[in-house]
Amino acid sequence: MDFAAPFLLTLKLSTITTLLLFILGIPFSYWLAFSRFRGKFFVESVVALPLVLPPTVLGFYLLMSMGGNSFIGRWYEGIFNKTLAFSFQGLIVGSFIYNLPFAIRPFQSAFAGVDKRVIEASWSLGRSKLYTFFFVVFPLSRQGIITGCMLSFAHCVGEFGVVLMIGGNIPGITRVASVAIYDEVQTLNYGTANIYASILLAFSFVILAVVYFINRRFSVRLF
Amino acid sequence: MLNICVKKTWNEFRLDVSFEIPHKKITALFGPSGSGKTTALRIISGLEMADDGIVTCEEEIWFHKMKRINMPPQQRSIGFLFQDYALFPHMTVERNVAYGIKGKERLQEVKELILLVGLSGYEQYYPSQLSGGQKQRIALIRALARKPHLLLLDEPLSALDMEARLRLQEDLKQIIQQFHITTVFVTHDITEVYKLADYVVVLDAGNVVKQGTPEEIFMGKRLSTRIQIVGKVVDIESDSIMAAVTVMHEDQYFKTLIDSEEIQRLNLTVGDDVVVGAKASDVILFKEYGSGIRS
Repeated sequence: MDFAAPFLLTLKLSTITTLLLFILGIPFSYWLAFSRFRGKFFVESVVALPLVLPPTVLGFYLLMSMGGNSFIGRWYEGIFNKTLAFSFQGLIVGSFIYNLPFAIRPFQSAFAGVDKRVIEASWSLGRSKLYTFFFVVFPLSRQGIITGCMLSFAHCVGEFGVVLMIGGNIPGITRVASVAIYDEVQTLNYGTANIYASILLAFSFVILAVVYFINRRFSVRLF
Repeated sequence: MLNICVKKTWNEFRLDVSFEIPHKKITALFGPSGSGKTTALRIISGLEMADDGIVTCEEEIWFHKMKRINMPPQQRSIGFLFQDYALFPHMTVERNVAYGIKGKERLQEVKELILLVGLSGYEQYYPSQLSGGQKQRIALIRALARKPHLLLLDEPLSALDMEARLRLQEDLKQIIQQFHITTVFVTHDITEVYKLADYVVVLDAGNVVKQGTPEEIFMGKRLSTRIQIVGKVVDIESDSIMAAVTVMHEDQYFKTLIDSEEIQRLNLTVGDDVVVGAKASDVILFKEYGSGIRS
């Protein structure tokens, strides 16, 4: 059970993060794709930051903003009576922010790639923007949406720096698979580290293979 | 009656038009590329907003800048046929046509509409499996399916080759007449205007320059001495001095000789629409028994 615990925690973290990215990322990406807001470049740059920032930098600032002395940290502690940093909930917040570009960018490109005229055709046929989104935009963007979800899930499974910075290494709470590998190597337990690493490697490969397979299948079916 | 009086400026182009669209007639917005006709059509539909002005349809205000009224396209009773049809690629023909219809009878209505355009049996096909002409007919019945007050067509035949275009002009007119609906279509093809339109609004550089029936707009006034025929150039045989241009008018062909330099000056090529004019000084009409009037 102890052996499997980091994996179960990793899967739990990745699933919740991906679900949150899907639910909150879809409307946000739609807005980014179609908005004419002048400051859009600024928002896009902020979303893309995790792509170029060292995870430790992001982890450091997240830790600072979640700690007991910060506004968010105090607010969270006031409501839930426990700290956000070094908790599973803190990990979810960190993972969500760190994985934003991996979901938002494919979602946004998929939405932007939908022919504007089919959207307008739907409006001219009396259908609301929401109806058009669910029956026209979403189905035509599914390739990008599936890619975004799978990439953020896979990336979440493999993240290390941010997780270690804001979650530490608390077994059963924040000790995810990537941290467990690091921990096993620190204690010179290479055999266990190798098993963990092999499973993560195989898992990441399967996810990427599925993403490429889906991309190919959908592009053939639709166009 | 549809009334449009709108202004819109973008980049360095200024659209400033005011015209009326007659009730239950087919009206062409005619003009060269960049004259603002598609923008005017999109403003009528609500897909684009004018900077200023008023758009009313049968006493209903669709757009009024001063009163801050801008009815979204969903609430305007329109059918819009896009230049490249904009069929939903992930839906079958049946679902495309049914998209704008609400109610229990929708499937029966869809069947009847598909039958009307002679595409029964294609219900489960996807748009990618249809020819250009078939897509055009499906897009047209999709636009008409929810029985709008106004049908808007943006260059409805321009995506087709010449042969399909000529064939579909007639079909298009018949279908529109069957629905007896006020129609506005955008075109730069003079033969389309003659074939389809009851009324023409001519736009140039963002302004209305003429409006009237096709005959009033394109024909000379002294018809007794001037003949003008609108047709399409199908062949040009040219040497250094003269050129023989073959022009097709409806299903008739005729040849006319003109100066070769004129061909170059006009940059005339096969497929161009032309107006061939001839002037006769002494016109004699005589009646030939059994074959009607000749001149």
